[in-house]
Amino acid sequence: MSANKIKNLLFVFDKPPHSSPATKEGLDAVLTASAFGQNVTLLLIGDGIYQLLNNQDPSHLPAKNTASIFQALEMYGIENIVTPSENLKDKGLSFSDLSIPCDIIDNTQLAKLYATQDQILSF
Amino acid sequence: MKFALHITCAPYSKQGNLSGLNFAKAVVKKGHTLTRVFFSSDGVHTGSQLTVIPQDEIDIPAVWTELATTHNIELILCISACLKRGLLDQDEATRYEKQASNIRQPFIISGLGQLAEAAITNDRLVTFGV
Repeated sequence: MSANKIKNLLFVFDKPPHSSPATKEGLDAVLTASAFGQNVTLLLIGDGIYQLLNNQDPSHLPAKNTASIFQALEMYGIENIVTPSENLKDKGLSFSDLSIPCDIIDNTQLAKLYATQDQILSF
Repeated sequence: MKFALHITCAPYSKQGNLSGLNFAKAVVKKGHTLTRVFFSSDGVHTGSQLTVIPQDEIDIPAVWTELATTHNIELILCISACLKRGLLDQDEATRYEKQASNIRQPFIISGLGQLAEAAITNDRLVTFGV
C-alpha cells in the first residue's frame, strides 16, 4: 500500500447523540482526516442515525453541541455522509427527519462501501 | 504488514485496553511491524505514570511501556483527551500553570493528526474500544 495514495477512510458512528464523548472525538477525527486530504466517508448506522435528527435542541446540556457540528461538515469538505435505508426504516425515520442531506444506501451498497475502504474507524 | 492501533478505553475499566495490548504483542510476535499506538478518549489513562498496581495484577501501563521500548513503537496520547482528564506533560503543565506533570515515558502527547497519519501510512489500523 503506497503511503502517497489518497486513502478511503470510513468513519462509522453507531452511538446516539449526546450519549458519550465518542461523538465529539469522532467528529474531530473526521475533520482531521479530511484536512489531511483523504477520501472520507461518514456512515451513520444503528443509533448513530439519531445524530442527524431534525429539531434536536441539546443547548441545555452541559456538553458541546455536536448536532451543530454535523451541519457544518459540508463546509469542511465532508460530503460523503451515508446511512442504510433499512436502518432508517428500523428507526421509523424518513429522509425529511434528517438535518442534513445524507445518501441513503441499500445493503448491497453498504457491503461495497465496506469492501472499498482502506481503513475503518469506529466511534 | 504495517500495523497501527487505536485504543479508546482505559486500562482496568474495559477489556479493550488489555485486548489491544495482547493484539500488539501478537502483531510483533508474528513478525509484523507495529509503528504506533494512538490512545484517545479514556485510553489516555494508560499514559499516567502515577498508577499503582497490586503485585498480583498485571501492570498494563508498564507492559505497554516495555513492549514499545523493545520494539520501537510510538505511544501517542491525544492531547485534547489528556488535558480534560488531567494528564499533562511538563510543557502542558507549564502552559496551563499546573503544579505537576504525570506522563509516563515513553508516552508522548500529540494531536489527532497522528491518528489520521497512522490511518494513511499503515496497512492496518485496528481500534480497541470496548
